[in-house]
Amino acid sequence: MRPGRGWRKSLGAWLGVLPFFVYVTAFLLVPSTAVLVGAFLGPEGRWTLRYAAEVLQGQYLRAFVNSFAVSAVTALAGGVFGFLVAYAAVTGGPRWVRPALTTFSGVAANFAGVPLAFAFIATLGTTGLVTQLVRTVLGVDLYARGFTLFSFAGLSLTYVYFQLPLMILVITPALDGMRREWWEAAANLGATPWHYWRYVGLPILLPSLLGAVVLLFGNAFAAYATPYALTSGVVNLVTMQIANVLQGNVLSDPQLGHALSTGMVLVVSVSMALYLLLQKRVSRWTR
Amino acid sequence: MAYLEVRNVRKRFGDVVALNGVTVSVEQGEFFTLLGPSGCGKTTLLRIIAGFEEPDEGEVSLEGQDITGLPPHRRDMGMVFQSYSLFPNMTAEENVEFGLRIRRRPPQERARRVAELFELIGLAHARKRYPYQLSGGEQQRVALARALAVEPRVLLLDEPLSALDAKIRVQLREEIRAIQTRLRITTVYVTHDQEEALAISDRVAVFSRGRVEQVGTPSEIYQRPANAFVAEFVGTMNRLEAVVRDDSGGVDYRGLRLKVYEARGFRPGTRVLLLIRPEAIQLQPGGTGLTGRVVSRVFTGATTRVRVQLDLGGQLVVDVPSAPAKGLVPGLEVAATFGPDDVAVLALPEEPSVGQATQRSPSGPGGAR
Amino acid sequence: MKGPRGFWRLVWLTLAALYFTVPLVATAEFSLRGGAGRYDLSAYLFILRDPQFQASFRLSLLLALETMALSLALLVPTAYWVHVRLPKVRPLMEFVSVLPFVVPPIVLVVGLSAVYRGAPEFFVGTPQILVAGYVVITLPYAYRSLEVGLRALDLRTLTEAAQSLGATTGQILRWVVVPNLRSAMLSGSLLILTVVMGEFTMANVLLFYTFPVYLNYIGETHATPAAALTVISFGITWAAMLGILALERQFGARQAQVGAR
Repeated sequence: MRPGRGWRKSLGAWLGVLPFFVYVTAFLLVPSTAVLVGAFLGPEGRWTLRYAAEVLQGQYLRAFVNSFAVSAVTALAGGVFGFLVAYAAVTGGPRWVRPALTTFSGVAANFAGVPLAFAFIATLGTTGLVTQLVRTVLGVDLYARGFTLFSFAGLSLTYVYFQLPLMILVITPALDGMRREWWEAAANLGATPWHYWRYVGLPILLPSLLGAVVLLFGNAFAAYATPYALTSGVVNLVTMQIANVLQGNVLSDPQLGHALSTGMVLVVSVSMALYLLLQKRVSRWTR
Repeated sequence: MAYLEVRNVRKRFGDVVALNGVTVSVEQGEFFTLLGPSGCGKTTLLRIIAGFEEPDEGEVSLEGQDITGLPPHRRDMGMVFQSYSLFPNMTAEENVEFGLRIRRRPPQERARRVAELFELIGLAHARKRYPYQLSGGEQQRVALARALAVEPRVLLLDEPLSALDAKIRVQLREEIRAIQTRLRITTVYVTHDQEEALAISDRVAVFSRGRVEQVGTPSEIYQRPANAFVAEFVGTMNRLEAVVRDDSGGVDYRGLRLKVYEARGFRPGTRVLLLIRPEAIQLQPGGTGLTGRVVSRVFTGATTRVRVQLDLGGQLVVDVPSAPAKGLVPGLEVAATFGPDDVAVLALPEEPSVGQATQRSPSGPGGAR
Repeated sequence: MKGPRGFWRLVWLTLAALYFTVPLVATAEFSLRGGAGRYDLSAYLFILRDPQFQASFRLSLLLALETMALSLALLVPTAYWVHVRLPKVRPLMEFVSVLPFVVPPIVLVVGLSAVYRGAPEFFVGTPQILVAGYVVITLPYAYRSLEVGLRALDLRTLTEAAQSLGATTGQILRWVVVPNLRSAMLSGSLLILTVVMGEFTMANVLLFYTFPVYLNYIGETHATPAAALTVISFGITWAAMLGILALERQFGARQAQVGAR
């Protein structure tokens, strides 16, 4: 910033962007800080690790483990499946396949939450279409065999519905960057498809793949609406616990909710940071 | 039988016919260039030779063996692409070593060969660099080394210099040719730059719209183009429509009698096209014969290009060394002369459609072999 | 599609197509069940006649519109200033626009409750508190849309041209910036619409009766109408997405071409 007339010019601009930053501070930064701080504040107003400790035990610890598990499983499932589908669409097939896939993925990624839960209930619930079809066509009664949609497995299956499209959307640009010349040059030098993937394809794609999977992980970890609508708390997740504390369903100090929230923010931040780091790595090679 | 043979290859992409019955033979150790404008099918043919495309009809054979159905990784050929073919996750060294690693050659042999190749391309100091740290010219040199590392039977180059600056292009093409000569490796080279083709090839096949127009040495296709397309595409060419007078090489250009040895194979009365290269014409101020007036002159360094409007009609483009050209100013009256040996002759069909002018009787040079 | 590669391509794409469409088909089928093996539109009629449907739908729509208005009012001038005068602030803006991803809605609502518990009734008691949070949640999407739009314009030159003709900043924003950003603002608004119409977490926790909350309630009590609502909800999301696509096509998203081929 230069003194003199330059200063005044910029001043107008600084004032112009002020409302936005004030807003963000008031409605994002301050609440977040309140949560982070509140996690360590005892009822007397003094610094304490009580809530942090409580969060890492018993049902709360199990909640973290469950959330972790669901997120990891669906991130991997969505990641692998999404990669294969995106690869299939990007590297060939009729020309309409790819735009159709990207469009649909855009919609499906947004379809998460309550409607998604009900869609899966209509599909695999006790009177769901697929449940009935399996019964009439294959003679197998899924629910009699112990399967239920309202479980870890059912929840994971539902999560994949929005994990898969997110993976497709994130990995497609990376796949675009895979030049045909690399494949051809490798083949020309005697490489079989296996050789290509081992030495060229996967090494180049790995940062993007890992980054995408990590992103999916954070995405699943933060989900509230889908598990709520589907299982209403049957599956013990961190988001459910936070809501319970907040709504007063549980007899506990609000700081517990803050501590749980802080744990969640920590997990999601780490995954976000990893994602950004891996993205940086990608751009180094494929300018 | 030639070392590499392509017989009657046809290929179409949807409605577009890329190759329309092409037959080409390449001798062992030869530097053979496929030359033509964009879309003429030369790259398609190269890719068919490499195995990345399959012909709809026809065969490709190498050393007598039919390889038409063989997948690319079993053809034992090395290819250099137009750009961006180096593996970005490997250093230059690792790139060059790739083919050897896949073939499980022992580490000492690999190291020796890699060192050899980097010496050959003059980039020993850049071995540990990644592709994004190399210039375009350096990348292509590494790509060449990589293709040569496995000692392929055939080297294929798909317009390797098109993406580079002009100066690097000239330098690099010399290097490529020098390496090829030294290693005596059979090479098929694709380019649209006719100057490049003339400079480095043993033989050139000129392509147009999916067919071979002419195959010959650079000198042959330059001096004795088989048809108007080749004449136009390769260098600049003067064209004069004339009529054959007798069977000893006399032709009649709008009343003026000229001597052209190549015209001897044509029947008197045939309408022909005389093709003369700009550098084959001399201009004499104030002379007689094919007279005209200087219209313009363009100085391009070593030569000056002079345009002469002929008194009998038509124009000639003449390249004159710049020093003696100083006196050739616009408005000056001159006479154009050329040796009877320096003119190529094409017969014209009954309608004056130049695009269909063809070579003369089969006993002459030119035409697809 | 030849050989083994073509085969696997078909396999994965078919599996994906199945996985995507079967739940939708199942929902549609479910929504048409009229009991006793019949199919009819009774579920849809039930919904459309339900006054709570209209009320909750209207509330969500209203909240969406308010979020759009506030969001654009905050973002457009800010993005403009950053582009034209304060390019050094750009990285900060990028960072801020990604922050909401790190603070999931459930955490945000915890924070908002903690901070604004004692706030005046008009703020905290009405659904408008949701708007405060919604602007934050939709920030990444809205900002990205505007960014894409701004990058396509040469804003600095336009501003200088307008200034040389005597325009004030307000006039520039109104007559130069906004008209040129129409597509970007519209597509950002559609994204906001999609997000707000589907946002459940904050509304449910704070006990406001928005459309997704209504959807959940119906789901707990009447299964078939819930499926019908799901179909309707999906239709809205789909329509919004198509709208965004149409805008993008009109806009002509530029793609950088790396390398000659």
